[in-house]
Amino acid sequence: MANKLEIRHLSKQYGDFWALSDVSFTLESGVTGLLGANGAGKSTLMKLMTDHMPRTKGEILWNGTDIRKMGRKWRELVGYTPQLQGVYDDFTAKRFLYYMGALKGMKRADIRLQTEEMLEAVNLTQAAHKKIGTFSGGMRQRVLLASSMLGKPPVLILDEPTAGLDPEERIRIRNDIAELARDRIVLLATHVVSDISCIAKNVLLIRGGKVIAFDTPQNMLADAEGKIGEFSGTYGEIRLLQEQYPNGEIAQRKDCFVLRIAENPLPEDCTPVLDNLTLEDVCHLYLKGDRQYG
Amino acid sequence: MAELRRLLLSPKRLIILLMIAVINLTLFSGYCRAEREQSVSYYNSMKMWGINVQGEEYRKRKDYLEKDYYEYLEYVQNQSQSQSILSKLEEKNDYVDRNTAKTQKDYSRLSGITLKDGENRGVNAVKDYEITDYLLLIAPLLLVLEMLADSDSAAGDLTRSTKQGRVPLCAWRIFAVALLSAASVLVLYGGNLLYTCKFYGNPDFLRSVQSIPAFQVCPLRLTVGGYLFAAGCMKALSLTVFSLLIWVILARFHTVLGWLISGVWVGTSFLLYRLIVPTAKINHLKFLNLFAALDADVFFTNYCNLNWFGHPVGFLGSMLLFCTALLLITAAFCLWLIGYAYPKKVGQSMEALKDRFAKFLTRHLPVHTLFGFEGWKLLAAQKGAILLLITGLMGFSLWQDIRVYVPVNQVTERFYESYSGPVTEEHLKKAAYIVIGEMNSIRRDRIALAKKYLLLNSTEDKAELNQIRRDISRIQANISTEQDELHLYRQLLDSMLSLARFNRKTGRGAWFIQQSAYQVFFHDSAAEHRCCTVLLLYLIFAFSGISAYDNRYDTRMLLRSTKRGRAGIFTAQAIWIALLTALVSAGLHGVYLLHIIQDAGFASPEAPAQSLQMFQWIPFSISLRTCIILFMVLRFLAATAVNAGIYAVSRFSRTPQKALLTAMVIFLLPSALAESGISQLQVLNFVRRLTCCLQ
Repeated sequence: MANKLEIRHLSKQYGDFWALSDVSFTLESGVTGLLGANGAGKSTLMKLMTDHMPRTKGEILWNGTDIRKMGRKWRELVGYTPQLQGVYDDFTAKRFLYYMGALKGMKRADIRLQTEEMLEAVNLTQAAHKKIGTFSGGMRQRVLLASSMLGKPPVLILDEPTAGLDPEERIRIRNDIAELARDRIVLLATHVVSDISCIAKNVLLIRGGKVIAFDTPQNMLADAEGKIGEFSGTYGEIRLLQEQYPNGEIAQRKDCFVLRIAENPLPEDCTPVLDNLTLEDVCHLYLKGDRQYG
Repeated sequence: MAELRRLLLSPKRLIILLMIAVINLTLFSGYCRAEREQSVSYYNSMKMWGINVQGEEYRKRKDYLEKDYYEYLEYVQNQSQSQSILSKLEEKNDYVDRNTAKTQKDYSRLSGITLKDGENRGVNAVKDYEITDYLLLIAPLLLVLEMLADSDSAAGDLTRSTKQGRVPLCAWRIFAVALLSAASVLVLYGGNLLYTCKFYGNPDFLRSVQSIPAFQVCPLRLTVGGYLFAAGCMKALSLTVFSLLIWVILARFHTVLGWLISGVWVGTSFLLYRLIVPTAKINHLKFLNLFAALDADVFFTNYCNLNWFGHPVGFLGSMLLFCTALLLITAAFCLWLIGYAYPKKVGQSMEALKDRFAKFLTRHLPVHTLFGFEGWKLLAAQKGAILLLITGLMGFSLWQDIRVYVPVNQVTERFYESYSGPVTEEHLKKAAYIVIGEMNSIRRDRIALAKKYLLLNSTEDKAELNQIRRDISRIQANISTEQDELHLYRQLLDSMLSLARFNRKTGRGAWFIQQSAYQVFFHDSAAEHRCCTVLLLYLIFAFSGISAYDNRYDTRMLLRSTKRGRAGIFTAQAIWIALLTALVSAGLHGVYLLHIIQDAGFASPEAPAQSLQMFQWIPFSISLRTCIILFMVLRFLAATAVNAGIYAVSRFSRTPQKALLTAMVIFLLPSALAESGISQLQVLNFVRRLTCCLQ
């Protein structure tokens, strides 16, 4: 039977503020991209899923059992990469992975074997003996990613795992995540939408603590058809139009400037974009008005 | 000027200085109180043997001030003259001649000097207490390390790109190091002096320093205040040179090689200063040494001329010249290397070697258990092993300092030898017979004395009269001794009777034993406070960072998401804390316990605890040995309770530094103030809580 992680009517309240409100969705194997503006409730959702804080209402069920009842057993099943690069500067990469292996309660032989594998996977074998304090942001991120994959947990919760990586590294990590997600549940929060568009089976959009969309990228793109359009003109004209559509995206073409907007319905004088729609457009459509998503 | 303000008047710098001052004051006040307590016990103990040490010391001091010192000056002059005549007769030795002439000249300056008695203990304590000298190093060295880190950071590149960011900035920084060195001396050394003024009384700063016997050989015409000022200036000068040298070395060899060179230089200098005797041929290496300058007192309590190419030069003058030259050279080097030259890393080959070594180690890196990793975090990553070493050295220093004197004499010793053990009717009778026998003996002597007085009135023969007078004196002395003994015997018999009554009343088998060592062990003492001060410092420094270390790197969320990242980590950390606390607590309390065993010895440890009056409330049978063990366990538990507080502070602190500061403010500051005499803060005196002793 395939593993299933169900989130049912999950809510979290801080004082008078509802960070999450009646959130429900089900995760199955494959990558689920999590998108939302800052403060939308992504981190709260991840903290609840890793049992870092008590929830106000709702349930999180792993194959039908509440994760709180599972306690240590649940944490054994989860690999987590936090957004903050929480790694010890005094540790070498290898020692840190050994330490994480010990924390995950793995056997010594497995720790040794899997550490080598993960260092190889994140391309850090050559730097395994160096202190993490000397690493770049991207290298630190890779160490964290390797640590989350130790023990080969069936659930991976990754909070911006490709932040700070160069394009080549990003592709490599993305491929690794896609490979890992073949037989496990991966929840991936990122602000790089292209990371999700390539590998996500589902996309979860959150706004103001509520799920506003949870679907496959293909369905979302189909839904966005006819809601994405472009104005073209001189730079001055486009700047004037942008005052009307502040979330529009300005781009320079060969002989003019364009303003790409996401509106439902589109204004009459706007030319609809019929092909080359991207997940970025979908995000514009759903999350417009939010300052930054991811 | 702005740089000076930024470096010296930042809250961080002031807090560091304040905390070092608090640590110093706690340790120094403990030292002074223990010294006084030991002197008092020594006097009392000697008094029991009929030796009046205080009187003897007073007489010696008086002789020194009125006679001995002037005889010494005369002796130096005569000795020099004889030496001069001898060298003329023997093979010609220019250096000896010159040295003789110089010695004569140096001491001739002191002719007509007047000495005055005063309170010497304070000045001696300030002079003898060495820990302050090492604590002085901390603030300037931290500043240097901070400036090095600053140069390495992006801020360093930014400042170097500005107009004033190179040589002028470096000059201000050198000035900041010098000022901070002077401030450290003023705060720490000055703090010690103020404390001794309060604790021992005014030492009279205006009398000649030679009034203090330890400065007998000092050839300088200085007052006590003048000496303290000169020593302080010398310490500040050496501290500046020391810090600048470390700065230059680390800036030049900005790698592991820099640390290696600094370590070798500091270690070698320290060993040369410690191991070379003042009269050795290579005494240049002892006296022209920054550790000698840091000590400073060595130049005022010794007289020595160094042989410079056949010419005798006073070691103080040589040292001043050496320090000044070194200061100028080092400052110039700093300006050139740090301010002017382009930053360049030297010793990359050493770094490559280090890298290879790290690779080798990593290849063979063992996979520890979680307990092992937490130990590594505590002992290696947080430098707990170094702290353990420092605590060990401080414990060793305490071992050398502490002495235990138990006031016993031959009479009581004999009595205890005969009657210690269970209180029996037979022992009581025998003890009573001794008292009666002593009373009879006094009575007999009194009769004999009365007879002698009668004879004195009836005899006219002069020789016989003299003999009778001698007999009277002898009998009077006998009576006096017997009365003292009777007093002691009565006291001992009373305590035997009291124990017998207690045994009859409660049915417990309390023994009659020599209690002095137990009294010393279970009651509050300054020596035990010294051990506990070091213990408290260890607990604060070792464990304040234990949880804050995770906070500093924001790893808490990551750790808590793992299977053993909650209770598992806490358990491992708690076990490490308990193990290290048990080790250090046993070691430091053991220092005092072993001294008591060695210097006094516990009599009949198998005796019931109720044999001591302080334990007669205990309602069950327990031996004194078990009591001692339980007392040590209680001390460990007290340390564990303090640890719980320190752990809580650590848990809620953002960084280990903030945790350390908070723990010091909560646990050390009130203890330091209470230990230095503010009795209102006794309730917050954690040093006292750690002793667990009775008042």
